[in-house]
Amino acid sequence: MTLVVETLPVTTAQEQSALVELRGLVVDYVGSERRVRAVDHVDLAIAPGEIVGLAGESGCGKSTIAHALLQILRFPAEVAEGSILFGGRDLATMREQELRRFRWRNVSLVFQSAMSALNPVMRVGDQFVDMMRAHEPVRKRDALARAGDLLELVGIDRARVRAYPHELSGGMRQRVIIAMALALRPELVVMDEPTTALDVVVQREILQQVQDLQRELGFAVLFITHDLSLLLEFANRIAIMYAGELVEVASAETLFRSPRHPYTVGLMSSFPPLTGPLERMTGIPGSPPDLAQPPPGCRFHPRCPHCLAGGPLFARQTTERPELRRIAPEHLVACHLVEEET
Amino acid sequence: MRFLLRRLMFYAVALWGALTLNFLLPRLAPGSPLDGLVARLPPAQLQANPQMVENLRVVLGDKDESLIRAYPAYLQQVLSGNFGVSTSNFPAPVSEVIANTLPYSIFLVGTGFILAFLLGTGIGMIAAWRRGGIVDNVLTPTLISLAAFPAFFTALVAVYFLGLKAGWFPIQHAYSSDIEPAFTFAFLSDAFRHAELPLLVIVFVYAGGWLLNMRNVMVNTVAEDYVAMGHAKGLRDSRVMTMYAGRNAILPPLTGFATLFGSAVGGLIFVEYVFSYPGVGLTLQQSALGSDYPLTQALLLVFALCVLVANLIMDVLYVILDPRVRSS
Amino acid sequence: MSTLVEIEAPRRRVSVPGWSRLLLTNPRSLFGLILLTGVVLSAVFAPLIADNSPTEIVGLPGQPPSRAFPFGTTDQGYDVFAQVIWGARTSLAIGASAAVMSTAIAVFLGLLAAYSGGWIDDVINLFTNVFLVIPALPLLIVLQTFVPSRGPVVMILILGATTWALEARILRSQALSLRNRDFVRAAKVAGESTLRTVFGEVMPNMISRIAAGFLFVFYLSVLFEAGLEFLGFGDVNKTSWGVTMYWAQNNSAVLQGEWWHFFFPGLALAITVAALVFINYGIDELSNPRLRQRPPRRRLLRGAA
Repeated sequence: MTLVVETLPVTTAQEQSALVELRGLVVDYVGSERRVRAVDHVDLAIAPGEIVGLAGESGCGKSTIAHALLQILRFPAEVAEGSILFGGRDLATMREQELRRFRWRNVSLVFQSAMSALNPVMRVGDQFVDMMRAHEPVRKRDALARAGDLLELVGIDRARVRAYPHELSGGMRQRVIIAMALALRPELVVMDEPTTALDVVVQREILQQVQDLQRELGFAVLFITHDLSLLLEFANRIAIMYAGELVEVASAETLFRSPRHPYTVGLMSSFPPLTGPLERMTGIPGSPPDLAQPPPGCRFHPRCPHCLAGGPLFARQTTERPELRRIAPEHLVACHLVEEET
Repeated sequence: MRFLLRRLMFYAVALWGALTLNFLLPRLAPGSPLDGLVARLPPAQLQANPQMVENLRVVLGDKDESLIRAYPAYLQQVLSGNFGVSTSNFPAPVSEVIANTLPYSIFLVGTGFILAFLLGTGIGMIAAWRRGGIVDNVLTPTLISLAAFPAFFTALVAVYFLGLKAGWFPIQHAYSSDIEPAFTFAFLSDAFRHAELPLLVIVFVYAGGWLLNMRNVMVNTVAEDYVAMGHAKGLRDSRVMTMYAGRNAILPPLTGFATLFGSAVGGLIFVEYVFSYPGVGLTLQQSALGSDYPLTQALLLVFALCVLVANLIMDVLYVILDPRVRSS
Repeated sequence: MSTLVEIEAPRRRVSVPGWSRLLLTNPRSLFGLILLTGVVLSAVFAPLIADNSPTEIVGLPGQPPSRAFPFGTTDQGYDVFAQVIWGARTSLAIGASAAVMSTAIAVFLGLLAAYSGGWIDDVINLFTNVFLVIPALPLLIVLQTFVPSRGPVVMILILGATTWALEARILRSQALSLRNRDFVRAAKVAGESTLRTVFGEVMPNMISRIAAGFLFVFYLSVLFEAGLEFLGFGDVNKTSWGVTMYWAQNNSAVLQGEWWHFFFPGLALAITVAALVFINYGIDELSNPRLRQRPPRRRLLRGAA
C-alpha cells in the first residue's frame, strides 16, 4: 500500500486566512472539589478545504475540542480561557440564536458511535428533516426528498429514509451520520473517531467515501482519532495531542518521515509500517496521566525514554512545561530535547 | 406484535387466575355465605324467583357441592355477566349496579391518573433539563412531599381546607342532588365541577411519584450522544428537550405505569369514600360492609379486569412509542 | 514430605455491621431512622407521654387543640393526643407482624422458585403473577368481608397474604443471578448440600434486599391497615390511627370543622410511612451510587440566553 501524499501546497495556516482558529483554548471539567483541565492552551488553525488530523490516546481531550468547536460542551465541562474563532468571529460573542444558525450550517460533527448518536425513536428521514427545518423554511416533503438524495450520495438506498436507526447495520448508520453532517454543506466537518466502532473492511470503505466527498465538495475536515496510521494516509496536517496539550504539529509527510517528539515516535512504532517489512513493534510503556494531577514539567516525562534521572535536561523536563516551537517551516514540536538539538 | 401477543396471553392467564381466586374465596370462607345471604332476603321474592337463589348458589358455592362440577358452571355463568342479585340494592342484579357506577370511576381514575402522569413526567422532564431552576427547586420537592402522604389523608385535608374552609370546590357526590344524570351540558358541567376536587387529590397523590421517576431517567438521558447531536444540529433547546431527551426518557416510567395502576385503584377507593362519589370504589366499601357477597365478589373481578385493561393499553402505547420493540 | 494445600472457597462479601454503619451515615436513611425511632419510642413509652387514657371520656367534646389537649378532643370527648400516642402501638405491632409474615412468604417462595426451576417455578410464578395483578386494597376488602372476625390476627394474616408478591418476584430474580456466581458454584463443587447452599451462601448475600423488602412491606402493611380501618373494616373499638380517623369520618368531623380529629392521626401515619420510605431511599442509594445527591450545578450551554 503506497502512502498517498497530498499534492495540496502546504503553506502554514497563518499565511492563509484560517477558517477556524483555536487560540489558547482551555477547557476544564468542574467537579465539586477540583477542576480537571482537559484541554490546556491549545492553538490550532484550520484552513478552508484543509484536512487536519488530531491524534492521541483515549481521554487526552480530543473529543472535548470537538464539542467545544460546536459549542455543545455539557456540564461539567466549560471553556475556561482562550477563544474559538470562526471566520475571524469569536464564538463566545455569538448569541444563542446565532449559535443555532452556526451549528451544522458552518461546522458539523460526525459522532463516534452512530448507534448512540441517532435518536432511537425517530425515523432516519425525520432526523434529517428537523435539522433542515431548523435552518431554513422548507416543506417536509421537500426535506425528505433531499434526505433521500443525501442517502444516495453515501451509497444508501433512498427508501431507507423511513427506517429507524436500529434497523440499519453499523456501517449504514455511520454513513447516515456522515450524510447528515454534509446536509447543509458546512465549511468544516469535525469527525470524532468516525470509524472506530466499525470493522476494518467497513472502515476502509467509509474512509474512501469521505475522501471522495471531500474532494468533490471541498470542505475542511478535523479528523480526530487515536489511529495515527489513518491520518498519515488521509490528512494534510497532523496534530498530536497528549494529556490535553499539543505536542507536535506537522504536515503528514513531514510527520511520517521525521517525527521528532518522543511520544509521536512511540506512536509511530506502535503500529505496523505502511510500507516495508514488518519490524519489531513496541508500544509506549506506562499509561496516560491522570488529568486531575498531571506530572510536573513535561507531561510525557514519566514515559519518555529520553528523560533519565541524572541526564542533562532532567531538571528542565521535570519542572518546566515545553512550548510548541517551530523547528521547520511546517513543523512544530513541544519538547525540551528537540529544542536543545535545534 | 409478538410482544403484544405475549402480553395478551399473560393477561388471559392472570384473568383466569383472578376468576379462580374469586371462585374459591366464598367457598373457603368459614361458615356458609350463601345461607347467611339467603336468610336476609325477603321470602316472597325468593319464592317468586327461584332462579335468583340458583344464580347465587353458582357464584357463592354450597357446602355440599362438588367443586369439580361447580367450577365450570361458575365460569359459564360469570362469563355471561350474571353475578346474581345485589342484596344491598335488592332486587337489582349485580351487573346493573356495576353498570351504573363503573363509568364514574373510570372517568375519575382514568382522567386523574393520566393527568398525574402528564404533569409528573412533564415537570420531571423540565426539572432534570434545567437543573437548579425554579421548577427543580420548588415544584419538585412540593409534589414529591405531597405524594408521600397517604391517599386518604390527602383527601381529607383537601376536602377540609380546599372544600369546606375555602369553599372553592363542592365536596360531595358526583353531581348536585337537583340534577338528573343525562347527556346534557348542564349535567356534564355540574358533574365535572364535582369531580374537580377528587381529580385534584388524585393528581396530588400520584404526580410526585411520576416526577421522581422521570427525573431520574431524564438525568441519565441528558448525557446521551443523540441529545448532544440534537444540539449540534442547531435545533431549539425546547425541541431537543422534548423530542430527543423526553421522548426517550418517558419509556421506562411508562413501563411502571401498569404496576402503579394497582395502587391507583386503592387510592380511588379512598377518594370515592371521602367524597361520597358514587363509583365502584364506594360501592365496594359499602357492599363489603353490608355483607353483599355477590356484589363484593363481582367487584373484585371488575377491579382486576380494569387493572389488566389498563396494563394492556399501556403495552399498546409502549409499542407505538418505542419502535425497537416492534421488531423484536 | 508433600503438603496438602487447602483451597478455600472464595470468601463471600457479607458484613452486617458494615452496612448498618453505612445506613447511619447516609443522610436520608439517618433521617428516616430518627423519625422511626421517635415513633417507636412514643409507642413504647405511651403511658408516660400521654396523660389520659385513650378510651375514657376526659374532656368536653369537640375541643380544638389546647394546652390541656394538644391534639384536641373528639366529638365524644376522647383525647386525640392519647389516641394518637397509644395508637402507635397497634399500628406498629400489626404492621411489623404482617411484614414479617409477608417477608417470610416472599423469601420462601422466591428462593424455592429460583432453586427448583421447572414446573415448581412455573406454578409459583403463576401464583405470584395473579397476586401481582389483583389490586391489593380490593382484595383486602373482599377477604375481610368473607371472614367475619375483625380481630388483629385476621388483619395480620390477610395483610401478610396480599403483600408478598412483589418481593417474591424480586428475590427470585436476585437468587437466580446469585446462583450463577462463582462462590455458590464453588460451594456446590465442594459438596455442600443445596439446602446449606441456599441458607448458608445465597441468603446472606441477599440480606440487604430482604431488609429493603421488609421495610417496603412494613410500609404497605401500616398503610393498608390504617386504610382498612378508616374504611370501617377493622375493630372499631380498638385504639389505632386508622380507627380514630374512621370515627372522624363517620361522625362528620370534616363537616363540623373538627379537623384535628383526622389530621393528627393522619400526620402520625404519614410520618411513620415517610420514615420507612427514607430508610429505603438510603438502602437504594447504597446499592446504586448513581442515585446519590448530585452537587449543585450551573448553566451548561455557553451563549445560552
